[in-house]
This record gives sequence, structure tokens and C-alpha cells, in this order.
Amino acid sequence: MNDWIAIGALALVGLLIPLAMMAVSYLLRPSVPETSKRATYESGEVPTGGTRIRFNIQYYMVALLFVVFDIETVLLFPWAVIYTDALAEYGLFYALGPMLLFVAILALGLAWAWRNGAVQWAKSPQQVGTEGNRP
Amino acid sequence: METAFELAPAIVLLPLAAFVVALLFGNYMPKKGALAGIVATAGSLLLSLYVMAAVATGGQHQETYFTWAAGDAVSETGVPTIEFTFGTLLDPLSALMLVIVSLIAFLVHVFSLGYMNDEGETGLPRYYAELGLFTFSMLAFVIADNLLMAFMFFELVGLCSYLLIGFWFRTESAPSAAKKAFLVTRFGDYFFLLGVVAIGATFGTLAFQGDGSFVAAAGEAIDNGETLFGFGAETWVTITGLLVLGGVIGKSAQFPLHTWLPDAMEGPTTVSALIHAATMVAAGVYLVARMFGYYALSPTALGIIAFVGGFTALFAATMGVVKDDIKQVLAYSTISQYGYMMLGLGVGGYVAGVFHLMNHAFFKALLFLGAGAVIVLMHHEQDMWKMGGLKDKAPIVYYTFLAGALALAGIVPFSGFWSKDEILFDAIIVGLNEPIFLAAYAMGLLAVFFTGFYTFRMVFLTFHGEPRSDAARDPHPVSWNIKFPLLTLGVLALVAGIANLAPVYKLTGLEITYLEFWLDGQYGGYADLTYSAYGDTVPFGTDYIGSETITLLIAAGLGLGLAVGGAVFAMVLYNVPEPEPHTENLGSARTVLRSNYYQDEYQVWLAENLTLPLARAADRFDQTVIDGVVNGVSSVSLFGSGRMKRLQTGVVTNYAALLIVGFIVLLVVLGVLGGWFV
Amino acid sequence: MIDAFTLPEWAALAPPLLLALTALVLFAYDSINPRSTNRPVLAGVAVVGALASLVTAVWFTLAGTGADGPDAGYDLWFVVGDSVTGTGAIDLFGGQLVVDQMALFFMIVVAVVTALVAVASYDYMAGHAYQAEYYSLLLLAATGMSTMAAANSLVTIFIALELASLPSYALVAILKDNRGSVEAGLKYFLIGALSSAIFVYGISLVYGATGHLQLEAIAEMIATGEADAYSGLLGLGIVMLIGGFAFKTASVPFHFWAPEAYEGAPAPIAAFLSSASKAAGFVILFRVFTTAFPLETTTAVIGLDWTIAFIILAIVTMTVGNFAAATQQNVKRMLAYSSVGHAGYALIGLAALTVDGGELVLGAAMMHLLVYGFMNTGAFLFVGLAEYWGVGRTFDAYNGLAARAPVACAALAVFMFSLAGIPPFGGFWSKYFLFTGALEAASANSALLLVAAALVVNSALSLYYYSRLVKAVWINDADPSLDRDFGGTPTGLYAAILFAAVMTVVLLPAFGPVADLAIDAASAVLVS
Repeated sequence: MNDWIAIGALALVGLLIPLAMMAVSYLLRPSVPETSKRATYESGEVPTGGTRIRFNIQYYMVALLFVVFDIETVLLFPWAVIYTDALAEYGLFYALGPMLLFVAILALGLAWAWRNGAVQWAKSPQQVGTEGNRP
Repeated sequence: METAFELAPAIVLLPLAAFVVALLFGNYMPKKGALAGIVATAGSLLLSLYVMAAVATGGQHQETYFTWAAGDAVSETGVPTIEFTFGTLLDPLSALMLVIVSLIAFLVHVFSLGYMNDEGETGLPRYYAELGLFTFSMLAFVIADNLLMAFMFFELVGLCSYLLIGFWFRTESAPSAAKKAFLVTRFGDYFFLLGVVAIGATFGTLAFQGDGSFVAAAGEAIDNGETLFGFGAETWVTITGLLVLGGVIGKSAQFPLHTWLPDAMEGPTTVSALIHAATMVAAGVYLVARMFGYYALSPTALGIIAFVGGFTALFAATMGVVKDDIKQVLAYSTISQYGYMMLGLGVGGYVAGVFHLMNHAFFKALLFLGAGAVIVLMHHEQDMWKMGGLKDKAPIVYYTFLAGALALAGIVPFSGFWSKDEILFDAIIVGLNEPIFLAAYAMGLLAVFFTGFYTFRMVFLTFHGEPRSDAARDPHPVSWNIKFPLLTLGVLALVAGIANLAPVYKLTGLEITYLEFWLDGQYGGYADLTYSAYGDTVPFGTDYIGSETITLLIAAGLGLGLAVGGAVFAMVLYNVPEPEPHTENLGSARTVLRSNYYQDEYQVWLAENLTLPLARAADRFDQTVIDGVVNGVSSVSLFGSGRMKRLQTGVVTNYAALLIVGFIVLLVVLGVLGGWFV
Repeated sequence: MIDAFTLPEWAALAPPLLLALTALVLFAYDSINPRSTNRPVLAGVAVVGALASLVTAVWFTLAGTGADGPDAGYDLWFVVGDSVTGTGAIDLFGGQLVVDQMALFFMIVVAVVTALVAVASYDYMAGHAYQAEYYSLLLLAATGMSTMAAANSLVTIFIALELASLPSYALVAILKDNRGSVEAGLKYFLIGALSSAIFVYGISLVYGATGHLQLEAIAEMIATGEADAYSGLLGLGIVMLIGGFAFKTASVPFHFWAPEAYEGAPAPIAAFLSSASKAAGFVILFRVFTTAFPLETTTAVIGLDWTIAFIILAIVTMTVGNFAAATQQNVKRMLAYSSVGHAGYALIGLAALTVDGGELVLGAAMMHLLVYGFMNTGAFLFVGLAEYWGVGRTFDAYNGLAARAPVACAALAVFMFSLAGIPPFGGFWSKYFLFTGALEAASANSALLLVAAALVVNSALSLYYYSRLVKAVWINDADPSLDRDFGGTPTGLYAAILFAAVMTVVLLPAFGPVADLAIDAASAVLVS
């Protein structure tokens, strides 16, 4: 016997429960086909156009910024956990300093992105004008 | 004393500076660059005298200035490394030669003012620049402390003589003569180069002097009975020595490579003076003297030197008899006189050879400059039959020329007598011990008669009798810059013999053989480069007829008698108001002599019927086989290149596929080799 | 000795840190003043930063930072740690980074190339948008390359490699209105992504086999025999690592991006990628294979001498590169393929390593990369100059350029002959050392004779196409029907080209100290 069996069993159960729930609901529900039911769910709005549309590049900009700060949290979290111990052992400069530097660099990046219009959904006519002048 | 040696590089570099100055600024200078050359050679002369004084007060100097390559060597003996350097070796021999070369170069520069500038030649900056380079090359050759450096400057000397002989490049004959001089001497230098490589490869050193010299290494190898490249050490020394001798024979115009020298008369007469007296031709004999210790190890090499010398002395003298051009006579006399030097060195007479080299430098420079003066007098006429009667018109030229002629003929007390007598004496005493050398001696002795004859034939035809042309009746005047060098050299031709009055010493016991002391390192110098050190090595014994004094008297008497005899014979035939061309009575012999024993013809025949077909065959091989292979390789490469280019399709998915395929191939190959999959 | 001002040990990373700082300064400038086209300030800051990095790297080298032995360095005004006594390589962050002579050597190469490229870009990028972004990306990429020189653990290597790669993709595509540039950027990115995937997979396999990412720790696991059970896994991991490095160094078969990227990219960026990026790829290649996989112990585990992989790669790379270059009509493409060929030459540095030696040949490879940093950068910058003048891209278009720009064309001749390895220039010596090193190692492994032969054959072939370019500019006459209008004389481009040319020539007399430094650095990493 092995610890892995317990883990495997847990995984199996975790997988079975939602599948079982979906199966049960499939068996119990009445079937009333209707056009609006087959439509893509868009928060109550009536969908327009096809599914293969172009997304605005701004989506990716925002997504990128999100990922950056997401990763930042991943580093900040363990750092915060050991912060008190590190403070005692290495002192303020070596415990806090690197993280401040890290955050400062990210903040600089955010500032740059902001200033260059990454978080601006629509461009102002003036910005569009300068864009147009670019070669 | 040290200062003198520290300044030694300046001796060499001053003419180089003159070369640069004359080349770049010659056109803007008064006298077109002559002054730069005169100042530089005068400086060299003064510094050379300073160095000579330093050696005379017990100094000697060897210094390496620059190592331009060093590395491992697979030498047959001893040292596993070899270094190629530039350095100087200042000892009695090189100090003496420095003075001779810079003195003659200085006088030639001065004379050129009269011969070139006053005659309105064009291209003078080029002329003086080349003279400067020539002097530089020769001086650097003289101070060289190793064989490779000597070789390099030996080549540069050859190049400069090519440039100067071809100075009047618009004429038809000068470029051809220049090319001939270049090619013939290059043929000899080819063997010299082989010799340098062989010596370097054998002994791992090319130095002339010291325990690390190739001379010392060769002596050791012979003593230890080593085998070098499959030969006995002595045989190998002979072979390499003879290879180097190839260069000497070419440069010093010895038989059979003497043919370039008479043609070289196409250059300006001043250049001829420089070439014959102090630079180009002297370089060959100087080289033998420089590495005399090496030749002294090999009796065979010495014997060959002696026979080549003796034969050339006689051979060239006979040809000189029938020449009508004053410069041609002098040219053959040069060949003949260098033959004497080789004879002297070949029988172990190191002092005698160097003594004659020195005296010859003086009197031959004198004769050539005198001939140049005559040519100026005669409005550029060189045929002696059109001269005559110049004696009274130009007394200074006449008397100085006469002094040179007496020295050349070897008539006591002029310098040439003393040195030639010493050579012949050395030859006969060796010959009495080893009879084969008597043949060389006999040739040398016989040549004395011819020398006396052609010399005085030239003097009488040129200066005596009635003028035979308008030019001779009304000669062009000559100025101080022609007379000054003539007077200087005239005095030297008369008195230079005092340097080594060996017969007087042997008869009276007066210790006045200064040159012998000088070369024996009694004032200063390296112990391994002295006359007595060479004397111990030279393998020849000596013998006398009766006693030394009797032998001496017989030899001197024979030599002087023959010389006077030749002179008197010439006087009888030619010292008349209207001389006849008596040589025409010689008949077919004259034709042979006039044609120089058909030497040129057979060499041309060799070139046309042997070398040319061989070269054609090599060319055909090169064109077809070698070029075919090369062209084939390149077409294969270009074809392959076209294929390689196609790998790059421009489609990124193809790249990804190729990348993965290539990677997997690598992975599989390595995996199978490393056994990772089992 | 004088009382030197002693800096903390992390200051040994000053060269990459200065580059990073400069990049951030540029970002800050662009944040305050978006879309600035104040080229003097932007290019000036970039050049100053690169030069500061160069100066500190040279300084540390002279001061003996990271060198071994008591008289490794000179007494200079400030030193890092107690390195002046020559205590050997400085380990930082638990051995994640290391500063030794080899690291500093390559930091110098990267900084020099960055400075040259920044100077040249002043003219080349005139009139383009995204000036600040251009320079900050350039410096970020340089930071990554500089860090690669010091990276000493597979994870720092990967991060540094990506830090160098990601800005490079953007830089290649920075001419957004130029289809070639954008296409090249995309291709570069896709091949890069594929290679990174292989590389990371290789890292995971090596980690799986040894349980470590830090290079010395990996070597120890291999030496103690704890990885014996996973010999196949380790072997596969090593080959996959080679794949990742081969991408960075543009070695066959990971070279496909190079011709496209170099051709499409702005010429200074092509110079940057083909010189600095390649050098950085080689330094981690050298470090990983000398530090983490010592030849003797690794051979015992994986049952195979890994030099075989490099022998194959070196021969194939130099052959493909040179043969493909031979008949190119486009100058930039020819240079791109020749750059692939040179990667093959540098690979000899690892191919000719033997159990008991190889510092000569490894040092020779390092020298070659230094010389290459000058001559190849110069050659690409000359192409940049031609593009600046709108000359055209083919050999024919270059005909008769010497009449217009004799100085630059003389410099081009220097670059070409140096690249071909003709004696009076720097390229000759490094190639010569590689050749002798390969011959020396051939006594242990006769396959190296093949490498040496390939080196000779390819060098001969390369002379053909290099001299073709020289012939075009110097001997051929320009097509008279072309009425070419050259702009002015771009100072920045000229300065960079001439500096590179001068260095290519000067490196010959200065080769003694450079060679000593490289061989010292090589023997230091080989011993450890």
C-alpha cells in the first residue's frame, strides 16, 4: 500500500462527483429544445455575428499587465511569509531592499505602459492623430 | 668605445634616410638629392672610422636588435630552437669593410655631381635614392651578424644593382643588361638560399660568431664524427658551403656566372665604380671572408674556391685583352681580380684575400671613376680607338688613372703589387705541399701577364699617341668634383699597400704587417674570427723552395716580371703615335675571345633548350592537372552551395520540421552510440 | 599595495547591472516623455550605459576580479570583494551566478558590441518610431546576454536566455511597416519558442537525472555516481540542452531563423544578434559543458564522449554555413550564412576538448568570438551604411561603392579579409589557434583531423565569397545607368565602422595579452 493510492482515490472521487452530478441532471431534466437555448450565453444579450471575430489588441495588453502582477504576487507571497525571519537574520536592507527594487521595476513598467496608452481602451482623437503621423 | 658601437646602426640607417629624402624631396632640393646622399655617406664614413678606431683600441661588439621570428627547430645537432634576428657583428673585418664601402660610396656620390648633375641627366632623384638604398643594403650586409640577415641584404643589394644598371631604362640595352644581371645573380642566390636553409636546419643557428654559431657547431660535429642528413659531417659542411658559394659565384661574377658583369656596364659609370669596387661584386668575396671559419673546415670547398678563382682570373684576363671599350676592359679586369681574391681565400690566405679586396676597392673605384672622367672628356665616347693623346689635355685624370693602372697590373710599389704578390705567395707555398694547387697558382701567375698587357694597352690607347677623333682633340673640361675623388683614390692606390708589407717583414723582420695584426685580432676582435684561428683550422700544409725567403723572392720576382713584361709588351705595341689594332693578328683566337668564349651563347642555349621546355611542361601540368583539380573543387562547391541554399525555403513550418528532424537524427545517433535506449 | 576601495561581492555583477539600469532609465525617460524622438539623448544614454558596462568589465578584468592566483590583477583604485588577492571565481546567490574571467571576457564582448550597435543606430534608426523602446530593448537584451555570461545554474541560464531572446524578437520586428522585418520577427519567435521548449525539457531531464540545477552540484552528482541509474535520461537531457544552445548560437540544425532574421532585421540588430547574442550563447555552452558535465566523469555515466556531438555539429555547421553563403546574391544573407559558418568554427572549442587539456583550443574559441565581435559587427554595420544610403541589397548593387566611400570600403576589406582569416588581421590568429588546437587534440581523437580539414576547406571557400564582396566594391564599376543619390555622411555609422576596423587590425599586435587572458579564463573553467 502506498500513499499514492489515497491520492489517486481522492483524484478519482474529485473527478467522479461533477461527472455524476452532470449525469444525474441529464437524466432528470425535461428536454424542451428552443432556439434561444442553443444560442451562446452572452449575459442575457442577444449575440451578434460569428464566433470568429477579431479581438481588440487591448485585450492582450490588459491581460499581459494582469499576468505581470499575478506573477508578482506569486513572488510576494512566500517573501511575506518568511519576511520576519529574514529581517532578523539579514537586516532591513537585504530583506526589504530587493523586494522594493522588484516592485519599483514593475511600477516603472506599469507607468511606462500607462503613459504609452496600454490601459486606455479608446484612443483620444489627438493620440490617433500622432499615431497617424508615425512612419 | 661603447658609443661607437651604439652609433653603429646609424652608419647603416643614414643612407636609408638619404634614400627616403632623395625619393620624396629630391625634386625640390638643389642638386636633386645629391647633397642628402653626400651628407649621409660622409656621416657613415665618419662613424665607420669611429667604429674602426673603437675596434683598434681593443673593442668588438655583437648585438641583436630585433628577433622577428623564433620557434622550434628540428635541427640535426644540439639546440632545438632557432631564432631569426637582425643584429650587428662589429669586428676587424666588418669595421674595415664599413670604412671601404662608405668611403667609396661617398666618393661616388661626389663624383656623381660631375658625372650626372653637370651632364644634365634627368631622373636624378631616382638615381640618388637608388644609390642611397644601394649603400644602405651593402652596409647592412656588412654588419650582419647572421647568415639569414646577410642573405636578405645580399638580395637587396642585387635588387639595387638591377635598378641602377637599368637606370637609363629608355635605352634598349640597359633594361636588358639589368635583367640579365638580376637573373644570373638570382640563379646563384637560389643556391645560397638553399644553403641558408640547410645550415639553419642542420645546426639550428645562423649566427656567424660565438659558441652558438653554425661555424662552431659544424666544427664540433666534425670533431665528434657525427652524421648529418646521411652524410659525414665534413661532407655535409662541404655541400652546404658550396650551396652558399653559389650566391658568391653569382654576385662576385666568378666563372661560370660572370656573364652579367660586362653587360652591367650599361649603367652609369659611377654605378659601375660602386658595384665593382665596394658593393655588389665585393659582397660575394666578403661573404666568403665573413664565414671563412666554415669553409676552413672543408678542404674540398676551399680547393673549389681556389680553382674557381684561379681559373676565373686567367679566363677573364684573356678576354680583357681584345676589348675596345674602355669600360669593357675594366669589367673583365674586375672579374679577373675577384678571381685572385677567391684564389687567395681558397688557399687559406685570409689576410691576402681581404688585403686584395681592400686594395682592389681603391684602385678599381679609381679606374672606373677615371674612365668616367675620360668619358666626360670624350663627350660620352667609350671606344678606345677614338681616344688618344689625353695625357696632356687632362694631366690629373691621366696620372691618377696611371696610378690605378699600375696598381691593377701589380707593379711595385703600388698597392696591387703587395696584395697580389701575397696571394700568389700563399698559393705557391700551399701548392708546393699539395701539388694540385700548383695548377691554380699557375693560372693566377699567367693571368698576371695578361693583366699587365691589357691594362697598359688601355692606358696607351686612351692617353698616349695622337688624338684619333675630334672629341679627343677638344676634350670637355672636368671640374673639381671629378678631380677630388680621383686624387683621393689615386693616393690610396699608391700607398694602401703599406697596410701589409708582408714581403718586407719576411725579408727584414720589421713588424709592419698591420693588416695581418688587425685581422688577427691583435688590436680587438673575437678570438674565433681571427686569422690565426682560421689558420689552425685550414687543413693545408705549406712547403718552400729552399727557404721561405728564397720562395718569397722567386714568387715576387715571377709575378713582378710577368706584370712588367705584359706592360712592356703593351708599350711596344701601342705606345706609338698611331697604334695598329694588333689583336686582329690573333685570327680565330680573337674571334673566340671577342665572343667571350661563347659563354653567353651556351647559357642562352641552355635557357632556350632546357629550361624553357621544362618550364612549358610544368606549366602544362599546372594548367591541366592542378587547375583542373582546383576548378573541379570549386564547381563542386558551387553546386553544393546551390543545394544548401534550397534548404532555406522561407516557410517557417518547414524550418520547424527540418529542425526537429535534424535534432532527432542527432539524438538517435548519439543515443545509439551511448546506448541510452537499452 | 595601495588601499583599494573594496566593493561588496555582488558589485561584481556591475556590467549587467549597469546595462539593466540604463534600460530602466530609458523606460523612465519614455514614461515621462512618451514617443520622444530626441535621438541624441536616447542614443547617448544607451551608449553611455554600454560604455559604463564595458569600462567596469575591463576594469574588473585588469583588477583580477574572479581570477586565480596571488598576482592575477593589478593594483587599481577600487576592487570587488577581496578579489585582488586572487581568490578565484566569485560565487553569488548560492552559486546561481558566478563571476570569473570567462564571464568578464564575454561581458566585455557583449558591452563592446552593444556600444557599437547603439552608436550606429543613431543614424540608422533616424526617422523611425519607437526610439526609446528600441534602445531600451537593446539594452535589456544586452543585460540578458551579459547575465548569460555569469549564469551558473540551469534556471538562471534559462531566465537570462529568455531575457536576451524576448527583446530580440521585438527588435527584429521593430520596423513595423516593413513586411520583411515583421515576418522575420515572427519566424525568429516561432523557432525560438520551439527551441526554448526543447531546452526546458532538457533542463527538466537533467534535473530528473541529477536532482540539481546548479552546475557544480550537477557535476558532483555525476562524479559521485548518483546519476548512474539515469544514464539515458541524462544523455537525452544533455542533447536537448545542446539543442537550446544551438538555437542561440545559430548552429545547424537550429540555424534556420538566422538568415531570415538577419535579413529582415535592421542592420544594427543583425550585427547585434550575430555577434553579441552568438557570443552569449557560446559562453553558457562553454560553462555548462565544462562545469556541469566534466568530460571524464560524464563519459563514464552516459557512455559517450559528448565532444562527438560537437564534432558533428561543428563540421555540419561550418559546412552548411559556408556552402550556403558561397552563391548568395544578397549581401546581408551572405553575411548571415557566414555567421552560421563562424559558429561552426567556435564549436571547435568544445569539440577539441580532451580529458587532460584543451584550454588552448577553448581559449582560441573565446578569442575568435572576441575578434568576431568586431569584424562581424563591422561588416553588418557596413551593410547598415549601404541601406542607409539606399544602395540596394545585392552584390551588384554594391559595385563601385569604393568611389563614393573609400574609407568605409577600406574598412569593409579589413572585415572581409579578417573574417576569411587572412594573416595581417585579427581573424587570422584566432582561426590559427583553433586549427592548431584541433590538430593537437587529434592525437587523442582522430575525428578532429576531419574537423581541422573541414576548417581549412571552409576557410578557403569563405575566401571566395568574402573577396567577391571586396571585388564588388573596389574593382567592379558601378552601373552608370543608376543615378544614386547618397545622403550625407552618417557620423555614427562611420564612427562605429571605423572603430571596429581599427580594433580588428589592432587586435593582431595586441593578441598576446588577449590570448593570455582567454587561455587563462579557459583553463580556470576547465579546472573547476
